[in-house]
Amino acid sequence: MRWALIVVAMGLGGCATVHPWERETLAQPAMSEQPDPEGDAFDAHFEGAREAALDPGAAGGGGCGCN
Amino acid sequence: MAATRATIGCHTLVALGLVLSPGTSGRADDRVGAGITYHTDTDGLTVTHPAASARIAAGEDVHVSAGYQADVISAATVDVRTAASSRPFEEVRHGADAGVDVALARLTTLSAGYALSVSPDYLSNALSVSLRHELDDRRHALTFALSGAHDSVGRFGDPAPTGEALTLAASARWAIVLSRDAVVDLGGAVEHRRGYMESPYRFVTVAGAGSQVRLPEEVPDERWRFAVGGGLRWAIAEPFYVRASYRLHADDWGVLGHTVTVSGHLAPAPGWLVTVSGRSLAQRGATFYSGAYATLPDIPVLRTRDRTLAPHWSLAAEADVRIPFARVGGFDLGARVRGAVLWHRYFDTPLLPERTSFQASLTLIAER
Repeated sequence: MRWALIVVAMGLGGCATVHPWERETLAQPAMSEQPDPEGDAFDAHFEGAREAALDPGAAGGGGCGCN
Repeated sequence: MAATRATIGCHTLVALGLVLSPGTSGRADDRVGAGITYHTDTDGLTVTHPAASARIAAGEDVHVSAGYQADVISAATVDVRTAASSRPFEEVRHGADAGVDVALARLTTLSAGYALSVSPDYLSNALSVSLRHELDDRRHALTFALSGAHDSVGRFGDPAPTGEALTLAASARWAIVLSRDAVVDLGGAVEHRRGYMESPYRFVTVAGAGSQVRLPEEVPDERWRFAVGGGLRWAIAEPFYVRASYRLHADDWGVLGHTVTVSGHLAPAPGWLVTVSGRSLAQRGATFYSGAYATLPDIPVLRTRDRTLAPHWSLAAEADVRIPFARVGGFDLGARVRGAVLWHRYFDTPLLPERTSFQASLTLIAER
């Protein structure tokens, strides 16, 4: 709980502004929100068929006999 | 740090590109990918998964996307072998999706999508819409999404569906740029599903003193699922990057799970990316799940042997390498080679206490 509050407090204004010209590192593939779209789609469907951990609403369609 | 090795001119180009592109989402303007994944495991299942997707600009503020995927399944699993008709089966699932992203303003994007999934015994139609907005000098990116799906489930060869289910989901995600080399992600989602959620192929044996009966599985007709999580993307010292995330998922069936994912990335040269990752999932099972029901003459109203609802623990290790090939017509061409090992340990499944899976994939990518 304490860590959650710290993170929220940092997010709400505790961090320094990062100017556009300072964002080259943030634009690297390893820092992107979804570095592997094809792999993520497969994982979402596969894990949805095998685990109850799937993100709610992340993937529709079952019928994969893989459970 | 890259900031120290680039020239001011490069900085200007990078800054311009970042202002015009969707912040830290890292999505190329145009991207085409096609690949194939092969899965096999110690439970007699193989899945060959070809997939292709494309996202292209259709104007200054509009991107359209489309994708196709298939699962070619061959199964001789313990579930199949112990079923009434114990023949191994082969099946093909087809999936297709289409979407559009519209930039409503410089920092606001509206997206909508449709997905279809079809197999001989399953039909799913799903719609989704999301809104992404960046604020505070692009230090924050908020994404809200809604989705709905209708699933129709049947048995192979039976034209009438066995049951139908309707799913509605909502999610929110908050990406916070902490510094020039760190981003925190927070998110949560809720899903409500109502309707038929059993498998028409899954039967449960209920035993008693000297006798037993075999009955279709029964699970509740309604399910609420929740998930919250957070993660960190951190450039330790270029070219080394680390990502870590934690996720808690729970539902009103009694399932509660914790997922931890950690990955390390090395970008040794432009276009190259080497990734090693690990994932652990520990899950408490549904309250009505049991590996063996011995309650005769009483028959439990809710009964299942669905392993996704069993208490279990899984570990996964994965490695992939992205390799640049060439630059043709303004597109960067490359390939991604990926291998993974997954281990599931089930704690209340007499027929299959553990399973090890292997996956390999090759994806060809063109983007600009």
